[in-house]
Amino acid sequence: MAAYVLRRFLSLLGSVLLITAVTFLVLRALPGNPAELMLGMDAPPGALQALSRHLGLDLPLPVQYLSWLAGAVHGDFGRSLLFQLPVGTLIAQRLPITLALALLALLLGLAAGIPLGVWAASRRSPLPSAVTAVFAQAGLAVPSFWLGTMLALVFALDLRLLPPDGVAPFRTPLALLAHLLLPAVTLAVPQAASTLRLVRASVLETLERDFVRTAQAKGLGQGAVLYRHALPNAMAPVATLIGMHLGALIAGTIIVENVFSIPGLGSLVVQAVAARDVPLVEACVAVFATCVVAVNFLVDLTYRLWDPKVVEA
Amino acid sequence: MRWLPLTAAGALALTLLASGGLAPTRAAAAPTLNVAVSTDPAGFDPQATAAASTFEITFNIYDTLATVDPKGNLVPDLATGWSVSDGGRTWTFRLRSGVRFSDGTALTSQVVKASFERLLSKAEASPWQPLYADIASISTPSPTVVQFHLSAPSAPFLANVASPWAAIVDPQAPDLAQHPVGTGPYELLSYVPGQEVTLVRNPYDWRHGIPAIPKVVFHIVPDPQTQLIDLKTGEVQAVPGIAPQDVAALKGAPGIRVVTGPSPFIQVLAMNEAWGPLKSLLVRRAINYAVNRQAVIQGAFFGYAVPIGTHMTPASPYYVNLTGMYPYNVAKAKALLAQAGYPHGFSVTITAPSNYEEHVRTAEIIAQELSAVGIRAQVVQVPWATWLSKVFMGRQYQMTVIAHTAKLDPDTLLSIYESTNPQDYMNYRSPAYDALIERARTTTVLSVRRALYAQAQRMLAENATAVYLDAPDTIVAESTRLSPWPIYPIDVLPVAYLRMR
Repeated sequence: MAAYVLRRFLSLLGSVLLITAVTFLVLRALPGNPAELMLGMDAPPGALQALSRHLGLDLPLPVQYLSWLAGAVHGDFGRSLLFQLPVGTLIAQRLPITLALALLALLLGLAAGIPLGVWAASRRSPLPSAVTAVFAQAGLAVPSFWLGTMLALVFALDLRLLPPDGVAPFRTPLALLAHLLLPAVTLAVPQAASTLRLVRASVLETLERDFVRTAQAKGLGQGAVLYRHALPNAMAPVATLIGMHLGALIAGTIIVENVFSIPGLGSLVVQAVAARDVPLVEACVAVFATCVVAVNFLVDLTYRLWDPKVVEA
Repeated sequence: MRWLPLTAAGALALTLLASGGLAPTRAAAAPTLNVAVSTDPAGFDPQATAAASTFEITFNIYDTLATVDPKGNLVPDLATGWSVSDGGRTWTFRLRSGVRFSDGTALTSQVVKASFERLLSKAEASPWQPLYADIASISTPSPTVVQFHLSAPSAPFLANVASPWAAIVDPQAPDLAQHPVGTGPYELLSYVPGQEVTLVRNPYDWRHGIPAIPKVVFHIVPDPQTQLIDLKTGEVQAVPGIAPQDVAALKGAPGIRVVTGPSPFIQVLAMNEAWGPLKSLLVRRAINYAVNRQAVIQGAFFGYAVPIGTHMTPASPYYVNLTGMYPYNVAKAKALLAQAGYPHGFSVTITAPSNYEEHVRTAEIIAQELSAVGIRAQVVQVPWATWLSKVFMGRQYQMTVIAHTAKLDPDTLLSIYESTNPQDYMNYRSPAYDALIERARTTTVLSVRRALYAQAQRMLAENATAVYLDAPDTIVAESTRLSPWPIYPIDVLPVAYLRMR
């Protein structure tokens, strides 16, 4: 097991490294260079050359990447070109907002998806199946930028039930929660839909098993059979799905944060790319990649602990 | 289902952590001015950056030796007066006495010298160094007198010294980008990136009774519509720089006033003189006759702009009114095109930076107008990064719509047409013009400078180097509780002289 963990950990590290290298190359291959964007049209002639040299942009690309990497390994992610602040400070300030958003969305998605899935599996009558099938299809199909805009229009602007984005919304936990609710719902909808489908299928399959028949035979009620016997045994694939969801949610925050102007990591990375702020983009991407890769790794481990039959490949 | 409550607890803990970490310290109930701005400053070190978003705020934190008033005059600031000697090679500034930085450090001629040496140092790599390359040495004959010795006479020197990036900083301060230390009316209390910049009165400020408002919060609100909602709900008292199309919606809104004034920007349709038909003077003049500036001003700026006829802002004392040179005249444009050998016009692309809505709208209006004289113009939108690389630095374009920003001295606007300037993206080449600009730069006799710059402006207009379109207004929407917002000829947001009921 230890050898397995080590091997997986090393490959995890390799993935993150590869991702940062590719990001670096793509960012520098795009038209526009960081020094030009920092200076705009206003700086005097001659400034561009000096700044390029100061930032090391005149060095060969591999050298630039390796010098970034050398700093990063020592925990020095450099200074953002856009904000002129240490990249670590910016990320430390914004990551909690993004994680709070992703976890809140996960929570909402599960809270909606699991009971609906069980409900859909509980009866053989067509109505729950049909209703949940429509919800599942629609939830998976609707793009988050559209859903987010619609939710903001209806709940924040028309009904005034929740605040739109605006001045200093993050002063109190309650205010933060209120501001994260709509974006979290936006993220949670597709995730609830796919949870629903998986739970339904898994519970239906479990209901065919012998121990369920035994439980029914000894006279247990429908609810007890479903929630105490069928559901726990149907959860193993759902746990795997949660891991995949968390990865998708973290990535999904990039779009949703921009739709709702949430000052998290997702809106930061978009700003950073537009400004070709190489140190900031690299650090953000490294954080995103590490989150996703680490979650997958943890899910893998959990899966092994959950089901001892999964042997080392 | 053991992980469910855990996830819940985690989300809640993070929520608390996030908000706890971000909650700024709230002072007691003192009047606070809240201002909505669109972007974060690029740090608070004015010497280190070219970002207007920094100067907008640091103008309130730092002072310069001389400064600019709303009318564009250069007036005393940290220096109470100055004199020029040695044929324009030596500039002597007498410093105000009793001035202290927000950390208590006293301002002396040594500090001023160190501040300029920092601006010029290799380690700081300030983008503005080329402007001060002619400083040969700085001497401090007394604690209140500082002298700049230049290698050649420089007329723009005073304007360069008065520019926001020449701010006098405390050279001992370790990290001005994060912890600014200046002599200005305000000091930085806190900055939460993406959210707000909070300024409070500098306890050592040398202006008596200024600032009137002890605390100012700049809220970073990227969406213009949200900025206006915040103004209407009273969360902010001022939105400096609203879009012209939004003014109508504010008319008649209770408690809201709109203040307008000349902006530092001039909008041009730049033409690449090295490309195809645009090489011909007749063609460029034809295009000048074919563009109706009033249509652009109405269509793209909703009337909030004034027409111009050359590469200079009407707010500048050097401006020459040449708007009468190419009156809108389709027949004349067609005749000139025919004379140039293009009786049926030609095809051309107008590149516009997609992030500037008003330039895109202007390009579309112009494309429409050019079709009336047979020129088939296609508008191509590109991201700002691409525009800078391909058009401005690379000169790979045919026509483009863009705005130039005026600085305190006319030299910065007019010198981009010098043949040797890497920013001469219109490929204008004229030895006569180069000589003119060089002479204007080295003469300190104001009347001579004025005459030389007038001649330069006329040369550009006669050569039809660009279609000089308009100078848009700066439009500020504010609460009527606030005194009228001062509109400056450079891109700054001065709040020190505002009053609030």
